[in-house]
Amino acid sequence: MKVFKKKPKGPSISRAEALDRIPVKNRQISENQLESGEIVICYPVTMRPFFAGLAKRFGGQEAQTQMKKLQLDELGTSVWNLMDGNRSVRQLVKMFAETHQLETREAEVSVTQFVRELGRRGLIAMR
Amino acid sequence: MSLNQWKEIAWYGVRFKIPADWQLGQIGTRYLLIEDQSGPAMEIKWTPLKGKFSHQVHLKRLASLQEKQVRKSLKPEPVSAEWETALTHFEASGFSWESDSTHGRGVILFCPTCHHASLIQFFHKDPPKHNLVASNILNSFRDHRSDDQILWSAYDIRALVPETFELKHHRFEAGRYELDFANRSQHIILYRWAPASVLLSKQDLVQFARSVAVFRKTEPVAGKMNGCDTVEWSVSPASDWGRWVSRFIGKASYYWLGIWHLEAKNRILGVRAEDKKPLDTELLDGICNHYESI
Repeated sequence: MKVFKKKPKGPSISRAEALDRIPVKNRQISENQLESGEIVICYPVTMRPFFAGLAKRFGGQEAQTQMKKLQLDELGTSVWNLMDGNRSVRQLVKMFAETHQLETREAEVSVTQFVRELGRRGLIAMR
Repeated sequence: MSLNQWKEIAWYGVRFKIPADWQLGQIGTRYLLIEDQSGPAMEIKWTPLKGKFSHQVHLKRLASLQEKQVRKSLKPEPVSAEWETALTHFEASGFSWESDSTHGRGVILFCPTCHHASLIQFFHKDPPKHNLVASNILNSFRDHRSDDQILWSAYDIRALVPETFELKHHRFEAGRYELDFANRSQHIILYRWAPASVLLSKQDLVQFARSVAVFRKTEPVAGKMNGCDTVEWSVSPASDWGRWVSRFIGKASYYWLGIWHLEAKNRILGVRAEDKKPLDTELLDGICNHYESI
Protein backbone atom coordinates (compact mmCIF):
# COMPACT_ATOMS: atom_id res chain seq x y z
CA MET A 1 0.00 0.00 0.00
CA LYS A 2 1.33 3.40 -0.89
CA VAL A 3 1.34 5.69 2.11
CA PHE A 4 2.28 8.90 0.34
CA LYS A 5 0.39 8.44 -2.83
CA LYS A 6 -0.73 11.50 -4.70
CA LYS A 7 -4.30 12.62 -4.30
CA PRO A 8 -6.22 11.90 -7.47
CA LYS A 9 -6.94 15.09 -9.34
CA GLY A 10 -10.56 16.14 -9.53
CA PRO A 11 -12.27 16.34 -12.87
CA SER A 12 -10.98 19.43 -14.59
CA ILE A 13 -12.65 21.15 -17.49
CA SER A 14 -11.27 23.63 -19.94
CA ARG A 15 -12.26 27.28 -20.01
CA ALA A 16 -14.23 26.73 -23.20
CA GLU A 17 -16.14 23.82 -21.65
CA ALA A 18 -16.85 25.83 -18.50
CA LEU A 19 -18.24 28.69 -20.58
CA ASP A 20 -20.53 26.29 -22.43
CA ARG A 21 -22.18 25.09 -19.21
CA ILE A 22 -25.71 26.26 -18.47
CA PRO A 23 -26.51 27.58 -14.98
CA VAL A 24 -29.86 26.42 -13.68
CA LYS A 25 -31.53 28.02 -10.66
CA ASN A 26 -32.20 25.90 -7.59
CA ARG A 27 -35.94 25.13 -7.31
CA GLN A 28 -35.90 25.44 -3.52
CA ILE A 29 -35.14 29.13 -3.54
CA SER A 30 -37.50 32.06 -3.64
CA GLU A 31 -36.77 35.52 -4.96
CA ASN A 32 -38.28 38.92 -4.23
CA GLN A 33 -37.74 42.06 -6.21
CA LEU A 34 -37.21 45.23 -4.18
CA GLU A 35 -38.53 48.64 -5.25
CA SER A 36 -35.01 49.52 -6.37
CA GLY A 37 -35.18 46.62 -8.83
CA GLU A 38 -32.60 44.59 -6.94
CA ILE A 39 -33.37 40.99 -6.10
CA VAL A 40 -33.31 39.29 -2.71
CA ILE A 41 -32.89 35.52 -2.84
CA CYS A 42 -34.04 33.35 0.06
CA TYR A 43 -32.38 29.97 0.15
CA PRO A 44 -32.27 27.06 2.58
CA VAL A 45 -29.05 26.19 4.36
CA THR A 46 -28.61 22.89 6.13
CA MET A 47 -27.25 23.39 9.63
CA ARG A 48 -24.26 21.38 10.66
CA PRO A 49 -25.22 18.63 13.18
CA PHE A 50 -23.18 20.30 15.94
CA PHE A 51 -24.99 23.63 15.58
CA ALA A 52 -28.33 21.90 15.10
CA GLY A 53 -27.74 20.07 18.40
CA LEU A 54 -26.82 23.31 20.13
CA ALA A 55 -29.88 25.08 18.77
CA LYS A 56 -32.09 22.22 20.00
CA ARG A 57 -30.55 22.28 23.48
CA PHE A 58 -31.02 26.01 23.88
CA GLY A 59 -34.65 25.80 22.98
CA GLY A 60 -34.35 26.63 19.31
CA GLN A 61 -36.20 25.02 16.48
CA GLU A 62 -35.57 21.43 15.72
CA ALA A 63 -35.43 22.11 12.01
CA GLN A 64 -32.17 21.16 10.40
CA THR A 65 -32.50 23.83 7.78
CA GLN A 66 -32.36 27.55 8.08
CA MET A 67 -33.40 30.19 5.56
CA LYS A 68 -30.77 32.70 4.48
CA LYS A 69 -31.15 35.83 2.40
CA LEU A 70 -28.84 37.20 -0.25
CA GLN A 71 -29.41 40.65 -1.71
CA LEU A 72 -27.93 41.07 -5.17
CA ASP A 73 -26.62 44.41 -6.36
CA GLU A 74 -27.59 45.94 -9.70
CA LEU A 75 -25.03 43.98 -11.70
CA GLY A 76 -25.78 40.73 -9.87
CA THR A 77 -29.48 41.27 -10.48
CA SER A 78 -28.91 41.77 -14.20
CA VAL A 79 -26.96 38.50 -14.47
CA TRP A 80 -29.54 36.69 -12.32
CA ASN A 81 -32.34 37.90 -14.58
CA LEU A 82 -30.48 36.65 -17.64
CA MET A 83 -30.31 33.11 -16.25
CA ASP A 84 -33.26 31.28 -17.75
CA GLY A 85 -32.01 27.72 -17.62
CA ASN A 86 -31.25 27.73 -21.35
CA ARG A 87 -28.47 30.28 -21.69
CA SER A 88 -24.88 29.15 -21.29
CA VAL A 89 -22.33 31.12 -19.28
CA ARG A 90 -20.82 32.25 -22.59
CA GLN A 91 -24.17 33.70 -23.67
CA LEU A 92 -24.60 35.38 -20.28
CA VAL A 93 -21.15 36.95 -20.65
CA LYS A 94 -21.95 38.22 -24.13
CA MET A 95 -25.29 39.70 -23.12
CA PHE A 96 -23.87 41.20 -19.93
CA ALA A 97 -21.01 42.79 -21.91
CA GLU A 98 -23.43 44.25 -24.44
CA THR A 99 -25.83 45.58 -21.81
CA HIS A 100 -23.13 47.36 -19.85
CA GLN A 101 -20.74 48.12 -22.75
CA LEU A 102 -17.96 46.14 -21.12
CA GLU A 103 -14.94 44.38 -22.60
CA THR A 104 -15.65 40.68 -23.15
CA ARG A 105 -12.81 39.69 -20.85
CA GLU A 106 -13.98 42.02 -18.11
CA ALA A 107 -17.55 40.77 -18.41
CA GLU A 108 -16.30 37.17 -18.36
CA VAL A 109 -14.43 37.72 -15.08
CA SER A 110 -17.43 39.43 -13.46
CA VAL A 111 -19.98 36.86 -14.59
CA THR A 112 -17.89 33.78 -13.87
CA GLN A 113 -17.00 35.02 -10.37
CA PHE A 114 -20.67 35.69 -9.69
CA VAL A 115 -21.76 32.31 -11.08
CA ARG A 116 -19.08 30.58 -8.99
CA GLU A 117 -20.33 32.34 -5.84
CA LEU A 118 -23.92 31.37 -6.59
CA GLY A 119 -22.80 27.78 -7.13
CA ARG A 120 -20.86 27.78 -3.86
CA ARG A 121 -24.01 28.83 -2.01
CA GLY A 122 -26.07 26.19 -3.79
CA LEU A 123 -28.31 28.71 -5.55
CA ILE A 124 -27.58 27.30 -8.97
CA ALA A 125 -26.39 24.07 -10.53
CA MET A 126 -24.45 23.75 -13.75
CA ARG A 127 -25.85 21.64 -16.53
CA MET B 1 -10.73 40.54 -41.29
CA SER B 2 -9.27 43.88 -42.37
CA LEU B 3 -6.32 45.27 -40.48
CA ASN B 4 -8.40 48.32 -39.53
CA GLN B 5 -10.50 46.12 -37.30
CA TRP B 6 -7.48 44.90 -35.40
CA LYS B 7 -6.78 46.32 -31.99
CA GLU B 8 -3.59 47.87 -30.80
CA ILE B 9 -1.74 46.63 -27.75
CA ALA B 10 0.94 48.90 -26.30
CA TRP B 11 2.79 48.01 -23.15
CA TYR B 12 6.18 49.02 -21.69
CA GLY B 13 7.33 50.60 -24.94
CA VAL B 14 6.34 47.94 -27.44
CA ARG B 15 3.22 48.09 -29.57
CA PHE B 16 1.59 45.85 -32.13
CA LYS B 17 -1.82 44.97 -33.50
CA ILE B 18 -3.77 41.79 -32.90
CA PRO B 19 -7.05 40.49 -34.36
CA ALA B 20 -10.12 42.00 -32.70
CA ASP B 21 -11.22 38.63 -31.25
CA TRP B 22 -7.88 37.98 -29.55
CA GLN B 23 -7.55 39.06 -25.95
CA LEU B 24 -4.89 39.84 -23.44
CA GLY B 25 -4.62 36.80 -21.19
CA GLN B 26 -1.72 37.70 -18.91
CA ILE B 27 0.06 40.98 -18.37
CA GLY B 28 3.40 41.28 -16.67
CA THR B 29 6.43 43.51 -16.61
CA ARG B 30 7.58 43.38 -20.24
CA TYR B 31 5.52 40.25 -20.80
CA LEU B 32 2.20 39.62 -22.52
CA LEU B 33 0.27 36.43 -23.22
CA ILE B 34 -2.45 36.76 -25.79
CA GLU B 35 -5.28 34.30 -26.24
CA ASP B 36 -7.67 33.48 -29.01
CA GLN B 37 -10.94 31.55 -28.63
CA SER B 38 -9.15 28.26 -28.02
CA GLY B 39 -6.47 29.40 -25.56
CA PRO B 40 -2.94 30.89 -25.67
CA ALA B 41 -2.12 32.09 -29.19
CA MET B 42 0.90 34.30 -28.76
CA GLU B 43 3.49 35.21 -26.18
CA ILE B 44 5.86 38.13 -26.18
CA LYS B 45 8.62 39.19 -23.81
CA TRP B 46 11.18 41.89 -24.24
CA THR B 47 13.97 43.61 -22.39
CA PRO B 48 16.46 46.45 -22.87
CA LEU B 49 20.01 45.20 -23.37
CA LYS B 50 23.47 46.52 -22.68
CA GLY B 51 26.40 45.29 -24.72
CA LYS B 52 26.44 42.73 -27.51
CA PHE B 53 23.47 40.66 -28.49
CA SER B 54 23.71 37.01 -29.49
CA HIS B 55 20.73 35.19 -30.96
CA GLN B 56 22.25 31.81 -30.08
CA VAL B 57 22.78 32.70 -26.43
CA HIS B 58 19.21 33.90 -26.15
CA LEU B 59 17.87 30.79 -27.83
CA LYS B 60 19.83 28.62 -25.38
CA ARG B 61 18.49 30.69 -22.49
CA LEU B 62 14.98 30.22 -23.82
CA ALA B 63 15.53 26.48 -24.13
CA SER B 64 16.79 26.22 -20.56
CA LEU B 65 13.52 27.69 -19.29
CA GLN B 66 11.33 25.13 -21.05
CA GLU B 67 10.09 21.72 -20.03
CA LYS B 68 12.26 18.77 -21.09
CA GLN B 69 10.10 17.76 -24.03
CA VAL B 70 9.95 21.28 -25.45
CA ARG B 71 13.66 21.84 -24.71
CA LYS B 72 14.61 18.81 -26.79
CA SER B 73 12.52 19.88 -29.74
CA LEU B 74 13.52 23.55 -29.70
CA LYS B 75 15.62 24.27 -32.73
CA PRO B 76 16.74 27.32 -34.69
CA GLU B 77 14.89 27.84 -37.92
CA PRO B 78 15.37 30.28 -40.78
CA VAL B 79 12.95 33.20 -40.68
CA SER B 80 10.36 32.77 -43.42
CA ALA B 81 10.31 35.23 -46.32
CA GLU B 82 6.97 36.71 -45.15
CA TRP B 83 8.26 37.26 -41.65
CA GLU B 84 11.53 38.66 -42.92
CA THR B 85 9.66 41.27 -44.96
CA ALA B 86 7.65 42.18 -41.87
CA LEU B 87 10.74 42.52 -39.70
CA THR B 88 13.06 44.65 -41.81
CA HIS B 89 13.81 47.01 -38.88
CA PHE B 90 15.14 44.18 -36.72
CA GLU B 91 17.90 41.59 -36.64
CA ALA B 92 15.79 38.46 -36.50
CA SER B 93 16.37 34.76 -35.96
CA GLY B 94 13.67 32.11 -35.98
CA PHE B 95 13.00 29.03 -33.89
CA SER B 96 10.38 26.35 -33.50
CA TRP B 97 9.43 23.65 -31.01
CA GLU B 98 6.71 21.13 -30.41
CA SER B 99 5.09 19.34 -27.52
CA ASP B 100 2.36 16.67 -27.46
CA SER B 101 -0.44 19.14 -27.88
CA THR B 102 1.06 22.33 -29.29
CA HIS B 103 3.53 23.62 -31.83
CA GLY B 104 5.39 26.84 -31.35
CA ARG B 105 7.08 29.07 -33.86
CA GLY B 106 8.69 32.37 -33.13
CA VAL B 107 11.41 34.91 -33.58
CA ILE B 108 14.05 36.53 -31.43
CA LEU B 109 14.42 40.16 -32.42
CA PHE B 110 17.08 42.73 -31.71
CA CYS B 111 16.52 46.37 -32.51
CA PRO B 112 19.85 48.11 -33.23
CA THR B 113 18.23 51.53 -32.67
CA CYS B 114 16.88 51.11 -29.14
CA HIS B 115 18.87 48.00 -28.11
CA HIS B 116 15.83 46.02 -27.08
CA ALA B 117 15.66 42.25 -27.51
CA SER B 118 12.23 40.72 -27.98
CA LEU B 119 10.96 37.20 -28.18
CA ILE B 120 7.68 36.62 -29.96
CA GLN B 121 6.21 33.19 -30.36
CA PHE B 122 2.94 31.87 -31.74
CA PHE B 123 1.27 28.70 -30.50
CA HIS B 124 -0.85 26.57 -32.73
CA LYS B 125 -2.33 23.13 -33.08
CA ASP B 126 -2.77 23.53 -36.79
CA PRO B 127 0.37 25.11 -38.32
CA PRO B 128 -1.10 27.09 -41.23
CA LYS B 129 -3.84 28.66 -39.11
CA HIS B 130 -1.98 31.68 -37.78
CA ASN B 131 0.58 32.18 -40.51
CA LEU B 132 -0.94 35.23 -42.16
CA VAL B 133 -2.08 36.60 -38.82
CA ALA B 134 1.43 36.18 -37.40
CA SER B 135 2.96 38.01 -40.37
CA ASN B 136 0.57 40.91 -39.88
CA ILE B 137 1.26 41.05 -36.15
CA LEU B 138 5.02 41.06 -36.76
CA ASN B 139 4.58 43.71 -39.42
CA SER B 140 2.86 45.97 -36.88
CA PHE B 141 5.42 45.32 -34.14
CA ARG B 142 7.39 48.39 -32.97
CA ASP B 143 9.60 48.64 -29.90
CA HIS B 144 10.34 52.35 -29.68
CA ARG B 145 8.98 55.77 -30.57
CA SER B 146 10.80 58.91 -31.53
CA ASP B 147 8.83 61.44 -29.46
CA ASP B 148 9.90 60.68 -25.84
CA GLN B 149 6.43 59.36 -25.08
CA ILE B 150 5.30 55.83 -24.34
CA LEU B 151 1.98 54.55 -25.56
CA TRP B 152 -0.01 52.35 -23.20
CA SER B 153 -2.95 50.52 -24.68
CA ALA B 154 -4.55 47.53 -23.01
CA TYR B 155 -8.13 46.32 -23.02
CA ASP B 156 -10.14 49.49 -23.66
CA ILE B 157 -7.82 52.19 -22.37
CA ARG B 158 -5.19 54.11 -24.27
CA ALA B 159 -2.79 56.67 -22.85
CA LEU B 160 0.34 58.52 -23.83
CA VAL B 161 2.76 59.09 -20.96
CA PRO B 162 6.21 60.73 -21.06
CA GLU B 163 8.95 58.11 -21.07
CA THR B 164 10.45 59.60 -17.88
CA PHE B 165 7.52 58.00 -16.05
CA GLU B 166 7.90 54.35 -15.20
CA LEU B 167 4.95 52.06 -14.61
CA LYS B 168 5.19 51.04 -10.95
CA HIS B 169 2.00 49.16 -10.52
CA HIS B 170 -0.95 48.09 -12.60
CA ARG B 171 -4.29 46.54 -11.82
CA PHE B 172 -6.91 45.28 -14.24
CA GLU B 173 -9.90 44.19 -12.20
CA ALA B 174 -13.43 43.81 -13.43
CA GLY B 175 -14.87 47.31 -13.21
CA ARG B 176 -11.65 49.05 -12.26
CA TYR B 177 -8.34 49.55 -14.07
CA GLU B 178 -5.42 51.36 -12.54
CA LEU B 179 -2.01 52.28 -13.94
CA ASP B 180 0.38 53.94 -11.49
CA PHE B 181 3.34 55.77 -13.04
CA ALA B 182 6.17 57.38 -11.11
CA ASN B 183 8.95 59.79 -11.88
CA ARG B 184 11.01 60.45 -8.74
CA SER B 185 8.55 61.82 -6.18
CA GLN B 186 5.81 62.43 -8.72
CA HIS B 187 3.07 59.85 -9.21
CA ILE B 188 0.47 59.86 -11.93
CA ILE B 189 -2.29 57.31 -11.65
CA LEU B 190 -4.70 56.58 -14.47
CA TYR B 191 -8.06 55.10 -13.58
CA ARG B 192 -10.90 53.62 -15.54
CA TRP B 193 -14.18 52.58 -13.97
CA ALA B 194 -17.13 50.82 -15.59
CA PRO B 195 -20.04 50.51 -15.98
CA ALA B 196 -20.65 54.19 -15.24
CA SER B 197 -24.43 53.81 -15.39
CA VAL B 198 -24.28 51.51 -12.37
CA LEU B 199 -21.63 53.47 -10.47
CA LEU B 200 -23.54 56.72 -10.90
CA SER B 201 -27.03 55.31 -10.38
CA LYS B 202 -27.13 56.25 -6.69
CA GLN B 203 -24.61 59.09 -6.61
CA ASP B 204 -23.37 61.91 -8.77
CA LEU B 205 -19.85 62.35 -10.10
CA VAL B 206 -18.82 64.57 -7.16
CA GLN B 207 -19.89 61.92 -4.66
CA PHE B 208 -18.12 59.33 -6.76
CA ALA B 209 -14.93 61.45 -6.64
CA ARG B 210 -15.23 61.51 -2.84
CA SER B 211 -15.34 57.72 -2.84
CA VAL B 212 -12.05 57.43 -4.73
CA ALA B 213 -10.02 60.17 -3.01
CA VAL B 214 -10.02 62.01 0.28
CA PHE B 215 -8.42 65.44 0.08
CA ARG B 216 -9.03 67.40 3.25
CA LYS B 217 -9.63 71.14 3.41
CA THR B 218 -10.83 71.48 -0.17
CA GLU B 219 -13.95 70.49 -2.06
CA PRO B 220 -14.29 68.79 -5.46
CA VAL B 221 -15.50 71.11 -8.19
CA ALA B 222 -17.97 69.86 -10.81
CA GLY B 223 -17.74 71.16 -14.36
CA LYS B 224 -18.24 70.30 -17.99
CA MET B 225 -15.63 69.82 -20.70
CA ASN B 226 -16.19 68.75 -24.31
CA GLY B 227 -19.72 67.71 -23.38
CA CYS B 228 -18.55 65.45 -20.53
CA ASP B 229 -19.34 65.91 -16.86
CA THR B 230 -16.09 66.45 -15.00
CA VAL B 231 -14.88 66.82 -11.45
CA GLU B 232 -11.63 68.44 -10.51
CA TRP B 233 -10.22 68.33 -7.03
CA SER B 234 -6.87 69.59 -5.85
CA VAL B 235 -5.09 70.36 -2.65
CA SER B 236 -1.77 72.05 -1.93
CA PRO B 237 -0.04 73.58 1.11
CA ALA B 238 -1.76 76.86 1.98
CA SER B 239 1.16 78.83 3.42
CA ASP B 240 4.70 79.63 2.32
CA TRP B 241 5.91 77.69 5.33
CA GLY B 242 3.83 74.67 4.29
CA ARG B 243 5.20 74.81 0.75
CA TRP B 244 8.78 74.99 2.05
CA VAL B 245 8.28 72.12 4.51
CA SER B 246 6.60 69.94 1.86
CA ARG B 247 9.90 69.49 0.04
CA PHE B 248 11.49 67.84 3.05
CA ILE B 249 8.75 65.55 4.25
CA GLY B 250 8.48 62.04 2.89
CA LYS B 251 4.99 62.12 1.45
CA ALA B 252 3.37 64.22 -1.23
CA SER B 253 1.72 67.53 -0.35
CA TYR B 254 0.31 68.48 -3.73
CA TYR B 255 -2.59 66.41 -4.99
CA TRP B 256 -4.83 66.68 -8.01
CA LEU B 257 -7.67 64.48 -9.19
CA GLY B 258 -9.57 64.91 -12.43
CA ILE B 259 -12.35 62.54 -13.41
CA TRP B 260 -14.71 62.67 -16.35
CA HIS B 261 -17.75 60.70 -17.39
CA LEU B 262 -17.86 59.32 -20.94
CA GLU B 263 -21.59 58.76 -21.13
CA ALA B 264 -21.60 57.27 -24.65
CA LYS B 265 -19.03 54.67 -23.61
CA ASN B 266 -20.46 54.09 -20.14
CA ARG B 267 -17.06 54.72 -18.57
CA ILE B 268 -15.50 57.03 -16.02
CA LEU B 269 -11.89 57.99 -16.59
CA GLY B 270 -9.69 59.57 -13.97
CA VAL B 271 -6.20 60.94 -13.53
CA ARG B 272 -4.64 61.49 -10.14
CA ALA B 273 -1.33 63.24 -9.60
CA GLU B 274 0.69 63.71 -6.45
CA ASP B 275 4.07 65.18 -5.71
CA LYS B 276 6.13 66.91 -3.05
CA LYS B 277 6.62 69.81 -5.44
CA PRO B 278 3.98 71.87 -7.28
CA LEU B 279 2.37 69.82 -10.04
CA ASP B 280 3.14 70.50 -13.68
CA THR B 281 -0.28 71.45 -15.07
CA GLU B 282 0.93 71.35 -18.68
CA LEU B 283 2.05 67.76 -18.22
CA LEU B 284 -1.27 66.83 -16.62
CA ASP B 285 -3.22 68.49 -19.43
CA GLY B 286 -1.17 66.52 -21.98
CA ILE B 287 -1.81 63.21 -20.21
CA CYS B 288 -5.54 63.91 -19.77
CA ASN B 289 -5.91 64.95 -23.41
CA HIS B 290 -4.37 61.69 -24.63
CA TYR B 291 -6.05 59.42 -22.12
CA GLU B 292 -9.07 57.77 -23.69
CA SER B 293 -11.36 54.80 -23.64
CA ILE B 294 -11.45 53.04 -27.01
